[in-house]
Amino acid sequence: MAVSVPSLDNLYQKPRSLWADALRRLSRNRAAMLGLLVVLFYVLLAIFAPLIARKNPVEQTSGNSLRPPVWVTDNPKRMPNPENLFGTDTNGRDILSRLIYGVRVSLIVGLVPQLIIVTVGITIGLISGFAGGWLDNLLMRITEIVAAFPDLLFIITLTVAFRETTFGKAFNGLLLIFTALAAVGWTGMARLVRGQVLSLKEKEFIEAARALGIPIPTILFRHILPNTMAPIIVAISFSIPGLILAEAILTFLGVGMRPSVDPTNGLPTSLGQMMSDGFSNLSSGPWMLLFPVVMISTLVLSFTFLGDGLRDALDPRDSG
Amino acid sequence: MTSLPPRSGDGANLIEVQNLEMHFPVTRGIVFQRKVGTIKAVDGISFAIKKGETLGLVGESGCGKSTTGRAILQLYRPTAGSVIFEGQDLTQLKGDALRKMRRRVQMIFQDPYASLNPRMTVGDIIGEPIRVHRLREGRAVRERVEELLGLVGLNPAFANRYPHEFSGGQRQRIGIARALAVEPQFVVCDEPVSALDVSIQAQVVNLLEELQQKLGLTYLFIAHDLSVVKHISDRVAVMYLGKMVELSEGSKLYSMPLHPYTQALLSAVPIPDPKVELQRRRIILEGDVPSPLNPPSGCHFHTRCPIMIPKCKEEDPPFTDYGDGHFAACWRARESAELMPTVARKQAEMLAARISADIAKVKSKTG
Repeated sequence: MAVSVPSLDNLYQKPRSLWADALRRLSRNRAAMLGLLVVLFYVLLAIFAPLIARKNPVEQTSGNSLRPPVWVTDNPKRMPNPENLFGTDTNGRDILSRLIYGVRVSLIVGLVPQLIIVTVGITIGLISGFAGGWLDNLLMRITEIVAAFPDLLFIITLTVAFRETTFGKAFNGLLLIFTALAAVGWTGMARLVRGQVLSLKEKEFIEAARALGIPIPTILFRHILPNTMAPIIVAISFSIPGLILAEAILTFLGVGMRPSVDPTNGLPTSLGQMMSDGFSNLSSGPWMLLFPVVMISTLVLSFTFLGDGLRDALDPRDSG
Repeated sequence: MTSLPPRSGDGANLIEVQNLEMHFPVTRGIVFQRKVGTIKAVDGISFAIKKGETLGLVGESGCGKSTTGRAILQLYRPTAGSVIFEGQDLTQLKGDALRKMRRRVQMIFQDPYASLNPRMTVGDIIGEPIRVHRLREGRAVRERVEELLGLVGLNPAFANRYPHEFSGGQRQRIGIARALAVEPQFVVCDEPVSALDVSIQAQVVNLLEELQQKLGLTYLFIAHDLSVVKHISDRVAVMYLGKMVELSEGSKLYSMPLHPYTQALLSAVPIPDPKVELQRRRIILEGDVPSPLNPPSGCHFHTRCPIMIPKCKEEDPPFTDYGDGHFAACWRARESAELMPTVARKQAEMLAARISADIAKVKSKTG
């Protein structure tokens, strides 16, 4: 019998998984790689903040307040302090050190609620899409109700209501923010996963798995879930900047993170808080607003570039 | 239904399908779903397949061929009827018993691009059912996978590759290897070659025949291509709008079709000979296939039948044996052969001869 063999060079090629292919496509995308680089840079900053920052971010030095960045020397009344590269704020705290710690908080705010969102979203999406029937109906109606809440208003209400409890005070109020963001953020993920499951469920390879007597949990976790990962990864990379901005907005409005004066606190301030401080001192120290804004913009933009690249690299076109 | 399932009588049937019905409810509404109708995809069909036999199942799109295959395998749970496989009614099996049973009956799918999980290697795709059913353990799984790949004519070294690195025909071979991994006795082939290039079709059909002889498999071969079906089938069944209209030995069905629908189908098969093509006259059916949501009364075919009589509108013709296991569901089956235009009859005979010659040619080439 004729043996079906592709060309010989194909035989000696390394097998390529779809993930490896996607990674190669991603590495060719300049914008995405730039985004990835910036994100990695900020992640390293966040992890090694105590080693990088030369000053303690909450340490106040009297007589050293509102110093401009070192290169701003046009005002003889207010000369920069060479020890404070990006200047100081109204309380004489080093802005560069505060920025480094602020990125730490922003990234944590991007990741922790995201983890909750992904877990809840995938669980509900998988159950809803795979089970179908009344359970799907029930779960999707709940999802729709939550999705219909005005997000920001709900989060503000939640944070205001629980602000004075021990729960609300944990980690300078960060725990409360995580919970509030996750509580309204999971609906998109649940719908995305459900939609993916619904379309995958009808694919012939799932039917084949059922015909072969593969147990349902195996079908869910080995056949369906890996095939939903691509859009989930893209959704995550687009949703992280949303969360970072949401925290900044909340803190800017004064219902987010609490300011900390404890020098041993690992999460003393956030970019949102620095923006809030900077905004109220816009005329006397515009750099106080400028630096956190630049920082948060580049962070958000980088995630968006990365997400765009991931979407192109993981395009479902070639998943067949 | 009054018709009895065609039985071979000698008890050699591997699978017996009795009055199988697969109705899908049509619902409307978001929170409260009202049932507004039923799609009768399969509406009471009965047949049996002997051990080692290939039954071809033909019909146009949407007539319920694939649904029949899936309902037999319990991928859809039939709304009524029974599927007796080795004395056991598959429709009554549930949970673990059903899962164990799935080992014995398998399916080969139409679309080689959609039927393999793109995120798994070929070795995992074929090895997973072996592990799940504990047919082999440990390293023996890998050996068995390589053996299966060899069996379907693929290089065993490809086990660590991903489906997208293969061509359509090669993927179909992987799908066949996966179905064979659980050592089934009965395989539903759901249009296994329809999505392939014609040059590849013959290879895959020959592979299926070879495997049947080697492993003693029984096939239900679903297709819409009459020449492919004729090539591989011992008997051929024709479906129209959820019902079986004719069932017979392949050669007889092609040379002397009893049902007007079968006659029309046969007249539409192109003959690769320009001289014959010039004289060819097709029986052209008027109108479209009626909706299975609201099928016509009486004989489902009466709206398009060229030899319809008033009785056809009122009564559903029984699926009756017209001699030697040639079943048909038509009130005028006895006379239809004479009513069939002579040109069409000649053509049917020519077609039958032509296909037999083709088969002989292909066999001598590949054999």
